[in-house]
Amino acid sequence: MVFGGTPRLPGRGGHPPAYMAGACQRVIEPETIRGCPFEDHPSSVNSYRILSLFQSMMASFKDMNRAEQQERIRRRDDDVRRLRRLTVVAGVLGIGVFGTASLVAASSQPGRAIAATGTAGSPAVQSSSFTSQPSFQPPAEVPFRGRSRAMAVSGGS
Amino acid sequence: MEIATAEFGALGTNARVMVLDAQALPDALDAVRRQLQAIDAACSRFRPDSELSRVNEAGGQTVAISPLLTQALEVALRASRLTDGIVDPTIGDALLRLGYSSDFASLARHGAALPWAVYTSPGWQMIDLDAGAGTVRIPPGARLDLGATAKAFAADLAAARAYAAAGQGVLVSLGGDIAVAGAAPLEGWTIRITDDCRSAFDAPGQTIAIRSGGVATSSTTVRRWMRGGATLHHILDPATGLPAPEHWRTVSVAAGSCTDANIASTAAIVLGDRAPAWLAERRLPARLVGVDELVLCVAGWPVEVRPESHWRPSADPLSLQLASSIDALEEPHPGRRGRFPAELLESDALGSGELAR
Repeated sequence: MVFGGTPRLPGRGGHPPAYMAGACQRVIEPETIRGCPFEDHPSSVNSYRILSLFQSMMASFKDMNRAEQQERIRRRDDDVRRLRRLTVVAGVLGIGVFGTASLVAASSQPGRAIAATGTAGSPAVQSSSFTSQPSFQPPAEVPFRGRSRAMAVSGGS
Repeated sequence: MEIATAEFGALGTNARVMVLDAQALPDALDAVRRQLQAIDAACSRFRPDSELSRVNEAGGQTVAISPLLTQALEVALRASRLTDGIVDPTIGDALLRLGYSSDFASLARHGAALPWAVYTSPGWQMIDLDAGAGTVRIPPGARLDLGATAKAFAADLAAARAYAAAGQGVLVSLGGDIAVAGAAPLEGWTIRITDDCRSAFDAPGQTIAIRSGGVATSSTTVRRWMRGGATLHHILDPATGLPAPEHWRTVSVAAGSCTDANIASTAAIVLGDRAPAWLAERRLPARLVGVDELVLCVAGWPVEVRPESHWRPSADPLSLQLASSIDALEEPHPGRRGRFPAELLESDALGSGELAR
């Protein structure tokens, strides 16, 4: 603690910076504060009381912060537990939805859903992919340069 | 693994089946044959005993049809919806008027000039299809032609069936309409793109590969015939009932299915110079070869390297002249694309005459 300057907490360094050394009248070490060795200097006593008050405030702040921290940790743990539960449920649902979508997609591909029989025993593809698509279906992959010798010919007919 | 291949004639063209495993080829072939027979019995315009012929001859009556023809009609109607009527199954009567009255193999390539009138097809909206009940009704006098969709639809169905039967990846080509199903070879299914599906593998064109979906090519250089000195081709503009003006000689499209690819390639021929933007907007990779032999690739179609050109344009001034004169006369009509105004249809300016002299 530096008289006439900014109070410094005992136990947290306590020494004034070097540039204040000349301005200091006296430096109070932590152990001397406890005993209040400045009873003959009223202004020093007041400073000591202010310091004590400040210390007690900081202590309660610390206690409060600790309690709040614990509360936050508890809440966070609760959140994590809840999130884990949700993740598991979403995963199960996701697998179900994805599986269903895959089955639907597979069955809607041209010719995959071959089921019924047309007239005269002629097979008919029941898939609606040729008839119900509301727009042109672009290719899954654009054509690329062919290199094989086994080939077919696409031309006018 | 060696790819096994077999070819046979079907649907008035050649069918080619390729399977990843040679042992699976018989099963795949059998499945494809049965599917094509079923399609032919349901959708052929040239077989008097086909279901489609029965519908065309019904004189406006409701006809009960099989699930297969129901599906084929649904595909045709979807094609019309997707193309705003550029691909229209009600052009059957227009094809008849232009002399395309029998299977192309038996069609006389030359003939007398045809009396003709500018003809607008009844329109796909006039088809009353009840898919649930399995019935269809078309206006009296209207005739359906499923040539723009049925073959590609058949390729898709046949590929799916062959894959189901063989358990191996397959490619089915019906006159150049190609569908694949199942696993593809490591290097993909290799396809030579040319003007004519009967061409040899080294014919001028481009070699590409796909792993899924389908590829289709429409061309004005095949299925051509002459009437009175005018050269005609089989891709009609429903707005005029006449062969589409020849802006592109060949258009090839890749899509999620052979059916979609063929709908788009046919529409592109009719759309002319609007085709590249139309295809790109729909994210359909395509290769368009102009009558001037310029090649245009859109939407990711691989750009080809052409060291030299083998193709020589066949001078066909009459058809080009016919096309350009029709183009000049076309006038957008409210509600339908490219219709002729009613006053022109009723007058002698276009109402009668001969195609060309």
